[in-house]
Amino acid sequence: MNLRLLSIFVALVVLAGFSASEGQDPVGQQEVAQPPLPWEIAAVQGFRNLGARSCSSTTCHGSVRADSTNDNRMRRDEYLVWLEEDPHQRAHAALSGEQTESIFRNLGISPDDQRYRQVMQKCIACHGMPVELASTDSSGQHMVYEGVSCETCHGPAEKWLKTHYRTDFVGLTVAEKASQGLFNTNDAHQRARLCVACHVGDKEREVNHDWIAAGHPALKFELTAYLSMMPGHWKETRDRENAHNPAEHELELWLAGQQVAADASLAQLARRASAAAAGQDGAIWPEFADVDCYSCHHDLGAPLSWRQKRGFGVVQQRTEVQRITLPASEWYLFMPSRLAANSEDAAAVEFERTWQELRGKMAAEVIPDDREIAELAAATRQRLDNWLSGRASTADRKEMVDMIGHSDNSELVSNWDRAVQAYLALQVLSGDRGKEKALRQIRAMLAFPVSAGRQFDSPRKFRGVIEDIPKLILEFQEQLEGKQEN
Amino acid sequence: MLAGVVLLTWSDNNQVYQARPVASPHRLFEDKCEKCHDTSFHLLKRTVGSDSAAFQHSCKVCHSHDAPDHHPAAIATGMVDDCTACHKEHQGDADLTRVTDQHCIRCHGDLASAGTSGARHFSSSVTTLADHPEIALLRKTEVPVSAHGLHRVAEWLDGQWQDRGKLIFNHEVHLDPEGILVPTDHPDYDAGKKKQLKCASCHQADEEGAYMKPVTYQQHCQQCHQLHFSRQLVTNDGSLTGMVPLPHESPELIRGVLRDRLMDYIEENPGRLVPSDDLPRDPAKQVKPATAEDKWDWVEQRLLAMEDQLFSPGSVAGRGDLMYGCQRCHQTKKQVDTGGKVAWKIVKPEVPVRWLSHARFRHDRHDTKITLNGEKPFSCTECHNVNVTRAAERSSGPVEGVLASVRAGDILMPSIQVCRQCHGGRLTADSGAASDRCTECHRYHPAEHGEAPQEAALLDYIHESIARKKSDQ
Repeated sequence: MNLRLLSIFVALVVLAGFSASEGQDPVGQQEVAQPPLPWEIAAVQGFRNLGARSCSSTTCHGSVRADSTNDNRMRRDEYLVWLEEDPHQRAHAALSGEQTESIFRNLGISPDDQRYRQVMQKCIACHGMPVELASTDSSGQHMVYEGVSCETCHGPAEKWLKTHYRTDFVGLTVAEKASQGLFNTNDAHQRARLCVACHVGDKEREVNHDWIAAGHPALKFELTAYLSMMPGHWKETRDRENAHNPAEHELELWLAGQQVAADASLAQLARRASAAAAGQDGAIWPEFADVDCYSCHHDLGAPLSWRQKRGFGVVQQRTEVQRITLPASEWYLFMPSRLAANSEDAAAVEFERTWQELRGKMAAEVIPDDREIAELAAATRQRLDNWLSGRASTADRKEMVDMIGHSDNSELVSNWDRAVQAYLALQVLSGDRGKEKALRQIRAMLAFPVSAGRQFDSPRKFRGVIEDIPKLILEFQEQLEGKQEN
Repeated sequence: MLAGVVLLTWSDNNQVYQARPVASPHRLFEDKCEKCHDTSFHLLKRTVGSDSAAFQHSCKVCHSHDAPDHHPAAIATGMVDDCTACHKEHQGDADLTRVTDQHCIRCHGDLASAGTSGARHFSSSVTTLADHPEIALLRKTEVPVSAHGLHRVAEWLDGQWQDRGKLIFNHEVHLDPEGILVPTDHPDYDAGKKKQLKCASCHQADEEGAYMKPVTYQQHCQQCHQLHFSRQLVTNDGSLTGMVPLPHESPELIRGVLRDRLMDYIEENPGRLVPSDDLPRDPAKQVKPATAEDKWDWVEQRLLAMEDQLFSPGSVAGRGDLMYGCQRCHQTKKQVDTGGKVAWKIVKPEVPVRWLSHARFRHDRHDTKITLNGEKPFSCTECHNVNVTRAAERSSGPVEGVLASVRAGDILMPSIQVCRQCHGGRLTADSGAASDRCTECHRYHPAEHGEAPQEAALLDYIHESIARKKSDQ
């Protein structure tokens, strides 16, 4: 058997292993086989991380200047971009910072508490990439942690560090490269899976309301927004069919991000509900992190806030007294739902119906039935997949414009989550026009304000402000259309 | 004939007494017998062979400084009474330090009965190259052993001898047979093609051809590893101030240079003092207000951050094992004075200029024109091929020796087995054999005392000779 066949075989065995282990997910749903994520490769294949310094040679990825020639596939300044500008680099250092101290203090866990190490291990699942170093003394190996580092996304380099720049390696297929541990970040869907594992959560990674209350930022991830805030260290012109059309590429990333994040959040909800249904130790139900933040956190002043005026629950009735229920967070599902509502595709309709049923059940009772929610979340997830895996992987521009809607946009902005998702979708549509005045105005209305004395972790005002957004959206869309017609 | 001898004696020609001329360093006073021999020449005794007729005190006029430490172990045995016991003059233009093996073996053949005191580090019996122990630096021993205090190029770490040099260097990467990438501004840059480095790209022989000259940053590293330091200082035209390389100088000087550049930069780009109006897309992300109060404050903040990046090892800052700037090649030390001021130091590299100071070697006599076993010419790695074997992922298979060395601590000196391939017994009936005399490699003058005779004594002699010549005229 030649090496190439062997590597494909190994990759298949690994994939099989993963789909089998995924099958034991408490959600009880058979997962679609996906390539293992970098840290899964490290854990299962035993490939080692070599650390960012192994990438940082001046002539490889550690140059100060980006390579402006077209001779090379890489930029050469990847390491320095990451080291100096990328917040991922500081992910592990953050764990020894003031904010982390404060979070642990609020959780009531002191550094001598035996739980401290256990909890810290959970932090490290996202915040630190383990690297085994040969020690200078006789003690052998010792472990250090880097932040979210090269190999956290590109895969453990033990098998490919010495070969990945060689002509014969460059010619390998994605699967062959994967069998040696190199993760394919070029694929929008795979890239989204990578980000979402930490920024939304998975089986091993979770930020729940206890943590948010203690001071950890709530996870509200949107792929294109986060990519735009991350200093890119790659050449967009590489290896992609739509690489020469950044706007198209952005549409592809947006849809992949929406799909993968919605899937992960539904899986999270299903896991939490199943754990509660199974009576697992430490299961929290309902978990407030699954709920719309601003259904509880809002202005309590007079006159009544938009939130109080609107009423509680899904069916918005302007009656004075409502039973308090906990509407599911729409952050991750609003855009797919809106897209499905505009679609005639039967699978889309089916997804939308199931999701609305889930929302209804979540909001019907203060403590919704965990078993029922688990089943519905799993079903919604399945239908989302049925629909989106059957359609084009790039969002259609017109489809997105229609989804955001031309006229009655009050639905779009009935809460902060919705308004921000609509704003971020407009950013995707705007392409290089992201600095348009209207978009800047919308952002200012939705922003978490900053003042010298205090950093807010929520929008300061809800009243009046969001209601102005539809007008601005309309204005901006007209500008966009005008530009397209010209 | 007798008349002839009488004539020569009378004519002041001393050649008649000499078996052969003296060695070239002593040629200066070849015709002044009394410089070495005392006035009672003991011609008769010499003729019957019972008196060496040269005297320790004569040698010591020039070489006295050597006397106390000159191979003290041998002197202590009493078997060596004066210089001429080993160093035979009147052998023609021969190297006086090339003593015969017999002189060495007298003791080294059986150190135990030779009665030397002190530890026998190597072997108590060395009679030929064949039973000479492995070169100390490559010997695996349980405990650190001193190699006569002379192998200062290595230190005992982690159960083996390691290069004392404090540089960080990876031979494997630099000597990749497929070549390595060079920066786009490198003179040899050619459309992304790789450049193949050879040993001689960095290791170049001295003028004599004997030893390798030290590798220097300016000559050997700079073209690829320019000291660019940051991507942060983007100027209005989009270029990077950080692209102007720093000088390869001490941290104190670097601080001055950085401060100058930062000051210039903020003068030209005062906009950097206020936060960017390029807001993050996510409205929940806040833009932190600028922390610097004025230009000076900004410069000092940036200066500390840049120094940290250049000098601070990643592990100190809780960042894993990241490295950049000076720490790529150098070890650094942080010093904080009582006032809390931070100063960085570069640990002296201490790269050995000369290995195996106990022996001597000439690279030019082992050059690539010489063939081994009549088959292939020498290459550097023919000899420097021991101590490291790694199953590296080369398409050509595992590599070893220098090509597999990933850390500067690896000692890449050849094993004595490599020497034995040519030196010593003949390999085959028709192959030659290079000499395996002790003095082929060894000289026993301790290196720290130098081998040059005392200048003062020599100058005295020269002045005296000149004065005499003048008076003769």
